[in-house]
Amino acid sequence: MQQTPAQAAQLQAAMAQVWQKSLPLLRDRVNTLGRALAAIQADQLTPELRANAALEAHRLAGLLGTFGYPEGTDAARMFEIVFDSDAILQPGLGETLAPALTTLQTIVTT
Amino acid sequence: MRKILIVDDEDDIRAVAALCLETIAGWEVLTATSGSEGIRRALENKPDAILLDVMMPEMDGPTTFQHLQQDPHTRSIPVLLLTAKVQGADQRRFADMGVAAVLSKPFDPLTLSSQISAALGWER
Repeated sequence: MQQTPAQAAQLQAAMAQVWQKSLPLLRDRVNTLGRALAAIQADQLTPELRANAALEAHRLAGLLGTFGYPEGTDAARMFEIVFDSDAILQPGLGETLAPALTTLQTIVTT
Repeated sequence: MRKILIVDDEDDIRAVAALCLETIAGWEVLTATSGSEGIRRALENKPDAILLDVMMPEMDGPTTFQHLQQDPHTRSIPVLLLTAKVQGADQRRFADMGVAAVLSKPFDPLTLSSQISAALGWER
């Protein structure tokens, strides 16, 4: 099913509108990851925040690539893998995940 | 005109998938925000296929698929699972359930309809 240039342009314009509409929710999701990361660094991550962060990371990973941000999917996937694991999260992990959080924050402020 | 039902609890995924299928393929798109609503809409509208998210609250995709399979009115509707789970074991488990295909999130908006058509053997 080959799309015409007009169809592709129409789709991109419509997707841009969906993106703008979705941004507040996407920012909330990234903020949740930021809170979870801060909690790791303070050694105060609760099971509830960890589970919520895993879910939000999963959702971001599944969406950002569709909007043309594959690096956002990769960054969110890092969070999902970490929060969805059974591992005890050490405060030092915060430094490892900080660049991924920056990537996500940059995307949702565009 | 093909009629496809998208079942996903995420508004943005439903919106984008619907846009892709309507704009590129010209299909009629129905949407549902949960597994239970998806089952109801499938019974009411008899879509040609169902694009079903795996991870949803209350009733997840695999459970929704089982309900659809148990009902003679919806059993024959092909179901494609949509998942952001990337691990091979998960993908194989879903495929073994008997769904028509397992598609990955994030999807390419320009080729989603082609992926669905290819999986279902629909003419282009």
